[in-house]
Amino acid sequence: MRPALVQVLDALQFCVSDTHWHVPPFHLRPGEWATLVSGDSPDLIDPSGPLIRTLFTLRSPEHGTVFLHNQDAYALPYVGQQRLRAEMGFVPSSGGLLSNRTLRDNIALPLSLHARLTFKEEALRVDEQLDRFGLRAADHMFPHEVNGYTRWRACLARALILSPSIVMLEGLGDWDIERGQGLGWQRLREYRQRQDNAILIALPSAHPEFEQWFQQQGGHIIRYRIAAELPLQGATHR
Amino acid sequence: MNIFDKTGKAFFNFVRYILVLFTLFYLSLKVLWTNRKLGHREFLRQVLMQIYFTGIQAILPILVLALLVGTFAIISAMGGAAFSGAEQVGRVVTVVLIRELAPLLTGSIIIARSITAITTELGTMRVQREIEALEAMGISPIHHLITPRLVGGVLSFAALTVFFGFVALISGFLIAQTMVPIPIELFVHFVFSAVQPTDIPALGIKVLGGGAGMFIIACYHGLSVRRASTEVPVAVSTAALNAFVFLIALHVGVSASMFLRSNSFELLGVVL
Repeated sequence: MRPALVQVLDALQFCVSDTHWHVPPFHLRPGEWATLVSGDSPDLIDPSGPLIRTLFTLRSPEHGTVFLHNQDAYALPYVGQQRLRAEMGFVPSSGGLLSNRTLRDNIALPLSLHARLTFKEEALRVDEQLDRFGLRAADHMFPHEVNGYTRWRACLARALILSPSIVMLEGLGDWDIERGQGLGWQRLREYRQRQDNAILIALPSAHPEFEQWFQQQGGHIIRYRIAAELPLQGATHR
Repeated sequence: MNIFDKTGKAFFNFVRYILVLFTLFYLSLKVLWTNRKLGHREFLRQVLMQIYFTGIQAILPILVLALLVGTFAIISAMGGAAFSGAEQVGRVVTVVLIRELAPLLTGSIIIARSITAITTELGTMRVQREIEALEAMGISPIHHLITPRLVGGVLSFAALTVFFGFVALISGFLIAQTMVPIPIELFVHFVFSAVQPTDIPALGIKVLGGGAGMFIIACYHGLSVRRASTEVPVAVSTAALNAFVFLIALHVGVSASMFLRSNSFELLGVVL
């Protein structure tokens, strides 16, 4: 049995602004992909944001334990968490591209910090990634100069450039989901199959068509609940 | 809430503010060690960019200001009633221009240009969630954004202060020539003989301490923006004002301590 890349040992429960998130225990192994979908129909804007941030060590949970790469992610010191994040790829819903850098420089940033490459090697890797995501024509442009889909692809290209073992995508909008067959999705699927990596997608609300399509692609659906009050059953107090 | 509550609250807020600034300064130095395994190329690029924006781009305004101030200082010294020859000119140039005005006016130019720019940039990054994106990439925002700005900013401030002093001296000398011809050797001799042993460390504290404080204030206010872009201009004006007050307070503190070291006087019956 391959080790789980992501494992929520206890039911993960946390609270943000008087709203409780309840995620059942789950794991994600190499080569798998899963979608976290809200089981309720919450009257909340972007409930997947706090959830994926908690799983990505950006927001500490009040209850529950998140294991990433067989380590209790929140027990690590800041520098350890930093190293862990560098081994994962995160695509925030806002894109998160740095507005004062061109798309090329945005994609090159993780490489220049985390990989010891020469200028030439780095440029080669970035060129490959730009070609793979169809971004070569826009490589000199700034994020605000391109459309949302190009920004999303650039963000995905940046998240995948260090070949992370886990990729987490936050709160995709309907617009992104409809493009499930687009270039970005195609590359994401190839990436998972080629390198045995795990991919986790968090959705803000139920999306039957996407879920059906996702299950056809071999993905798991994990449902979480959101409520004003939730009993903390089975949770380990931290 | 009565006056004592308000005063106490303001005092504790002030103490907290100072502690936060010191913590940020400490962390910005600490990341040089904790993040030493990260690529240095990106860090160097950020430092060089800061030197370009703060140092290189400010050369022209500093040049103009130094020429004007040098001229003004010499005219004032020569026209003053206490004027007693070229020695007085050298003393005025050294004390007023190099020790006091050079770091103060250079700092003011830096506040107007760089402190406001850094606060705006970081505040905007915060609102657009770019800082969170950096954290998500395993990049410490302090290492990537604050430390390079601090290092580049302080180096630029030091270089610009020296440049200001040099240009002010040259312009002062040229203006002095039109009024009282002084041989250059004599002028240089008077300038250097007027330099006290304590002037160098005092200037060092004003430049290094002042630079570090101003840039940390800018970074803190930029990062303290939380939700809306309307918070950015408020943060910018607060940062500029606080940086200016800090710079003046540091100058007053350093000059007062130097004065107390070299003179003793009586205050309320106590000989200091």
